Amino acid sequence: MTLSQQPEQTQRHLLAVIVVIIAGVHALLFGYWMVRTALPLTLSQAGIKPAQEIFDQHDPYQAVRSFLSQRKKSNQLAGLVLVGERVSPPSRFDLEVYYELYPVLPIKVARGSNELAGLVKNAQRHDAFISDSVLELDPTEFDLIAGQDAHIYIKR
Amino acid sequence: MTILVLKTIGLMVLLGVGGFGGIVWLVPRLRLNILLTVALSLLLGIAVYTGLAQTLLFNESFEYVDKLVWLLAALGLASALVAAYKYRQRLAQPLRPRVSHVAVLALSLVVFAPIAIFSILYPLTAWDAKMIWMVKAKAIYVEPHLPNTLFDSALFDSAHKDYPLGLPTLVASHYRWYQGVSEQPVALTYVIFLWLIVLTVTGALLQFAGRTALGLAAALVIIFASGDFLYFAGLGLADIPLSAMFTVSLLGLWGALLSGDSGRSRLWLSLGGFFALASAMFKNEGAPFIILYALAAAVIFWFCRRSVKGGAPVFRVKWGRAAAWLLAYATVLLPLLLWHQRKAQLGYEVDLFLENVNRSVTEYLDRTIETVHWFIIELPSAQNWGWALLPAVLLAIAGAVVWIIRHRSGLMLVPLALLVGQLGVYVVIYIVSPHDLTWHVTTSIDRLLVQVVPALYLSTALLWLLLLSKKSVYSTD
Repeated sequence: MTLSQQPEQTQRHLLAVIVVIIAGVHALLFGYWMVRTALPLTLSQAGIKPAQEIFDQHDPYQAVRSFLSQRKKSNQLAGLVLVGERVSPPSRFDLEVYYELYPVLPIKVARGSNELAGLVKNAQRHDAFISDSVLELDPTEFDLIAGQDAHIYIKR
Repeated sequence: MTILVLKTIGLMVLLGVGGFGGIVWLVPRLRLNILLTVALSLLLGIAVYTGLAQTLLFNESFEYVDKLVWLLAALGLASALVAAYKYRQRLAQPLRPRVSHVAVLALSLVVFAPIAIFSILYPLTAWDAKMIWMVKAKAIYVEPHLPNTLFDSALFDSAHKDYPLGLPTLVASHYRWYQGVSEQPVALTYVIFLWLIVLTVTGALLQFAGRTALGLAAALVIIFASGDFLYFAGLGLADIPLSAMFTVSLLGLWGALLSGDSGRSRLWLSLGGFFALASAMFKNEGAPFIILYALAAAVIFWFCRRSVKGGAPVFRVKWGRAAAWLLAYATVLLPLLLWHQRKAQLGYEVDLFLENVNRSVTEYLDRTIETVHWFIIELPSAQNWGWALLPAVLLAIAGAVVWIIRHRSGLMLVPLALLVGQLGVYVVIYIVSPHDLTWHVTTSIDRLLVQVVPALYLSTALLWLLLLSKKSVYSTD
């Protein structure tokens, strides 16, 4: 018996079973996502759970974002130095920070160890550094805000 | 944030009213149900608005984009009032909500509300979203004209400057609506695109198959809320808006096939054609889709014209209606032409084919086999598709075979053939791409599939509903 000759009722039941199984799997996936991700994020925004932990989990550049947005609001970007090795294609770090700052780009980008050493030596000339690595700056002069993948140093 | 979210909802409502002013004239003739009316109105409003906003951008008049929202809403409202006065009962009857429509709408809202909330709160992390689309939106907001000096900055080196500006312009117009740059509330608009896909697919099933499709429609709401759809919903990528346009275009083909009237077939094909054109405003993949849609529509137009008896004369043109369609098409065609002209002027070339690659026939063959291999690997992915894609593909193949055996005709398979053609284009692009194949495929295959999978679900479901039902013509239920 070919498929086209089978009773329509059987085909209907077969399709219904397939649809129910697939929809059931998806309902479970959706439920898991709700409990695991959506609900904690919503609760954190409502102040019921700490937000920073959840945001950092999803967005390693959160510290950079909040820092830059504060600076942008108060127009304090003039003395900012971005420390990162800019290659082709540009590194994720560079682009993330560039995007956040864009199109306001009054920043100095340090490339290479010599340039970096010069910057660190004359660190007091700058207001802030954002770096993808740890910088040896005087802790009495600069506060460190450590993000997951970025380090932000702000003049005290 | 709350105010910005309310502003986004307000913007969508106004664009929906604008779009309803156009769709309302199709409701009595196509007997569109409430789900399809909502979906088509909002998508039409967004598409027309995006097209006109780009036209303003290319003519250095982007500052009028806020006024454009109110103008579209006012015209839409006026048009709806005239249509209501003219049609009255003919309009009320198809739009009267049935229990099945309300149930699906309520389920979709229950499922999509947390997705929308999550997307608004979730930080913008997707690479392509930021570095291709959102960065251009910022540039357009800050320098609302082309040429744009910001496009020449280092940040745009990997931004694919040749890509269409539909999504960046739409987002930049959100920023003007907010009076400031804020990416998070725009996520609501992306989720709305996915919600409209769901309304289109479920609305079409209920429209053409009646209440028997209620269970399938409810299952599809759940299926669209997991896997890659859930992941891509609020990310800010152009693939979901593109997918919405593709899905409505396929709806146009199905409407033409199932309407049982050559006059209505033409209306459906015209509607689908508009959204096929609009798709090219959002991403380059829309260009081959326009060609494939035109071919599919020509085939359906030709055969439906011959097979339907007693329909309206095929070549009788009503000039008022023709002018309205031309105007609608112009809103999306004009920005496409202007963008191609500007691209040529500014030297924004398609960077996928920039490198001169010399490959042997064997290498091309290897890349073909490997590309097909990647597509096959993707099908059973639980993470991306929740095991729904493989059964859908198998059901589509089985449905096509059964249909041909039973009916000795392939006309009903034209929508599926279009999707196969579109996938074929993607395979060719992978084969000729200068990039490393594994890198290129693994970083984009799921996004490409997201563009066509909703239309595949729609087509497979309709094909099987037709196979299992004796009733194969238009339902008003």
